[in-house]
Amino acid sequence: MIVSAFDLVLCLTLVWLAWHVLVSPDLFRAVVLFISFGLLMALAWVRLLAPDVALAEAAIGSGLTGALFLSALRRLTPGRRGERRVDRKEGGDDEGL
Amino acid sequence: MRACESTGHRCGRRLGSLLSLVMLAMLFAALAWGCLTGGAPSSGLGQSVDAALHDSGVESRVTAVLLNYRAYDTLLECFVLFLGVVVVWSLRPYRPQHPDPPIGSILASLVRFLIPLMVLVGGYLLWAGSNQAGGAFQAGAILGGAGVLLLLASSPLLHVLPKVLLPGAICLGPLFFLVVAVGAMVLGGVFLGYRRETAAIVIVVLEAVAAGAIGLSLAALFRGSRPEETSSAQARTDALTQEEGQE
Repeated sequence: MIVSAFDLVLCLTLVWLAWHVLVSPDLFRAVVLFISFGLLMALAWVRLLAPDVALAEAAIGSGLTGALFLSALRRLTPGRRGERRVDRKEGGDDEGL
Repeated sequence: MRACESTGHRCGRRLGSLLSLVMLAMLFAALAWGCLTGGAPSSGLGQSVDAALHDSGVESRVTAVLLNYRAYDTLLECFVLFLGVVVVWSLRPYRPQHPDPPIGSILASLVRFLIPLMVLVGGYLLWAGSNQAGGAFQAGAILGGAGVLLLLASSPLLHVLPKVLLPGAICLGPLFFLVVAVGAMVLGGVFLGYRRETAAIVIVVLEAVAAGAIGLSLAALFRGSRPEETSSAQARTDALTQEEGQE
């Protein structure tokens, strides 16, 4: 079985992205990397001849989950200093109600 | 803080990461071996699926498995999504301290262009699902994405569906699926066992209803807490704040 260079690059990029999603201290960066991971994963499913899974991965795994993460990030109480938020403000307390 | 990181502690952590590296290497070796030797022998279910395909009512193998042979799984998936919405709706509503910036004209016109296109693509995916890639979940996800876009732009289209009807519309997907399943049992004796003559139309209607409910559920998940009339929600929040103040 000949593994083409494209598949090899795709696999390596997926592993690299997954690693950086996990270790990134900046949550906004992690979410953006997660979305790109989902899109490349959809490409990998296409390469595996599973277009149904690719469609679901791109729409649900990457698009809607990414949107959910971004909206959750906005609602989180501010974390460590210097962390980027979606609404670009630092500090300020959030009492929830 | 430094004291707790004694030498033994650090040693244990290093051993742990070494162990996970070794396990990772073993996993990759097994995967590479599987790739190079042609993978695991097939379980043989593909032939059974193909043999029964013309009885299933659809021409796509994936749709036949999802909505006919293993429709039980899809039914439970619909209920899982429904439960997710129930859990999210039971959370406390979120009120941003700073109001959102006004909607730009680019976003507004983008929504006007994209929403009809997304509804069209969702409908096409639903229809295409019977003989190629596509289906209820993919169509539902596109519709959910359209809902998210409407929510982001706080479009007036959001008020087309009255808030009172939203829970009913979300319940409709799993409930309709259940009614079809029980109906098939009453008529034919098997839970979710459609008749061969009616399978095609049953699956298309089921997928359409399920896609609508999935789209609404996903958009509702994105929105967060249950939408309420603003005045009553505000009144409840005020009452809560007063109670907390009295305590």
